[in-house]
Amino acid sequence: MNVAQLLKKRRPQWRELERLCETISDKPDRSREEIVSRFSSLYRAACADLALAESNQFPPATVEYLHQLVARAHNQLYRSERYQFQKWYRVIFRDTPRRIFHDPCVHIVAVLFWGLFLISAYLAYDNTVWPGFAQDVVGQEQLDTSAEMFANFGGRGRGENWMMFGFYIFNNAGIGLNCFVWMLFVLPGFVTLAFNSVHLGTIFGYMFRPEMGEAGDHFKNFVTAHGPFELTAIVLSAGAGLKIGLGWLMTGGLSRLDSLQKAGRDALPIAMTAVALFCLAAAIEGLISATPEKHMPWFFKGSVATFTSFLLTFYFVVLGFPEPGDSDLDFLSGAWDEA
Amino acid sequence: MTPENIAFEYQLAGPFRRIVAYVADILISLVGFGIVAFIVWIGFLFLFSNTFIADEFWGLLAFLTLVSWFLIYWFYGAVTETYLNGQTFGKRICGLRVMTIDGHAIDGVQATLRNFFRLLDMAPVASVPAMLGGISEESVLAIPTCLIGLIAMTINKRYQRIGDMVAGTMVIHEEPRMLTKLNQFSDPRVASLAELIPPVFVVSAKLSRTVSEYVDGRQHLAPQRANEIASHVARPLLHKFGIPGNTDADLFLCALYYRTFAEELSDDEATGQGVAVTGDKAGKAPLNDRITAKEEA
Repeated sequence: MNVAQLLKKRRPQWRELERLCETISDKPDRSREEIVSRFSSLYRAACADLALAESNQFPPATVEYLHQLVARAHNQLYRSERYQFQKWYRVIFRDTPRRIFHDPCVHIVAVLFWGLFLISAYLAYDNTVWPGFAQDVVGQEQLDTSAEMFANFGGRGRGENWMMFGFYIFNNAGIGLNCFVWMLFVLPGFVTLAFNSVHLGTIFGYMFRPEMGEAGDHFKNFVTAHGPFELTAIVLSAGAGLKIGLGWLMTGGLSRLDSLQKAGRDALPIAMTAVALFCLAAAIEGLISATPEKHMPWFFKGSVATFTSFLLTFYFVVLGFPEPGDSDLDFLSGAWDEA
Repeated sequence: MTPENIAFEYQLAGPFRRIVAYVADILISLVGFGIVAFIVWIGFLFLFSNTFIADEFWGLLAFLTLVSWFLIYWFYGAVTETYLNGQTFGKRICGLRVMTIDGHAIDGVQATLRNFFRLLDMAPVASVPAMLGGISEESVLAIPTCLIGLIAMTINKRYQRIGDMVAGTMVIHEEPRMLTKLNQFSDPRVASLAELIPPVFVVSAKLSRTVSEYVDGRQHLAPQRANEIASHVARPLLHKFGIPGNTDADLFLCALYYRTFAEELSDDEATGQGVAVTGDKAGKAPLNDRITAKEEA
């Protein structure tokens, strides 16, 4: 048999495979069994044809056509895996807290964030060690704005509360994901993190000064309830980002790209935890924090903060404490390959 | 390499095709979201224009609008690529598909990662607040320059942007290509000249490729130029086969093409020469016929 005859003989089947590619891609789940089995036998035949074409030096145009046809059919036959929701329980309540609790990147970021936060809060509050620290860092204008904002703060309508809930999710989780993504380049990520922690710390310290009076009370009222979730979420998103950033710097014997991909896979659950915490924080911030003192006593907000801190401790320490052993690690890598 | 034991090639998609798909995606999600939100809001405003509705209701509506925009903003690409087999709607329009770097279908983790890191690939935007403060009024107006993504694409051979590197994916172009027919020759001299090529001569892979590419393109060339190009390949071969040197070089390459692809192989040639070639053919062809037979049965 020569090339011309072979092409003539095979052409109708290639055409049929092309047509089937289109039908199947439209509605993969509802394709009938006969069609799928017909499709796969045509696909195997096309694979054999491609092997034949390559080894027998068919005209390049034909070989290219076959490459393209086989690739298209392959992508229809072997489809992307969906999210496997039944595995999520295990990932959320077992693997992720352990991963976070034992992750050095999260530790580094936590120390850095809280350290800078507390130092700048103290400097802004005390105002004797470094006079005018708050004004130097944040600027008088912004300090006045926030003082004014909280001085006049008297709560919002309930409808507005819901709207702000949505806005906080969009805005804060967005900032968290920004931080996560920018950590890939380590340095800009650290700049963002340090900027945020110093900025926040300074405003905290400034607002708690005794001379702030009413504004200070309102501020305390506002930040207490959602603080634990939100600040933890910032640390987690930056920690997950740092993991990826170090992934391509410290490869641990893998090639740079492989190491980056592994770090990405490991860091994603941490980042998603951060997003979930941002959403929870947004709910508290929108619905509880903004309620003024007379409708909701500060004691209640304090209890919310205590309770959420307790939840976080339980999740990270109690669920996270067991060291992932070898068998666990095997399971983890398997789960993430499949999930 | 697949379970069918065959290696095949993908055509990678370059940045310009992908930017078109991305713009299409933005338009689809923005317009889709805009229309749905508009209808819902107008509908409720119209329905309840006369009745008193609690403040909370509008707040809840605003909440749902913002949350769905958040979900679309960050998860549109991840979810569509997971459920549509590596394609967003924009990619489907442009015939693109996301694959892992070893050519398999992607999973949910990879889809999510590569779409998160789009933010980095679009950077630097033309305003600083975006980097420090996320989505603020200024950064919505900012224009992404995509410089980081473009630089990343130029320094690796698979056109991966940073999101692709982190997720281990690549974007391919699935272009349905037309199957071209073999070239036919009306000139009877081609067949007769092909007879003169000794049957012992085995056409190498490189030569058959060269000849085939030449014949595919020769109608675009002026006859003198065609001859000039052809003579570089044809002269040494003509000399080797002992065919008179004044034979038309263009005609000779056509004859070689005819002999390689269209002429019936005689039995003694199939057994005598080119063990690698004929051996493969003997091995594969029956298998091929068998599959064909099975399908027709």
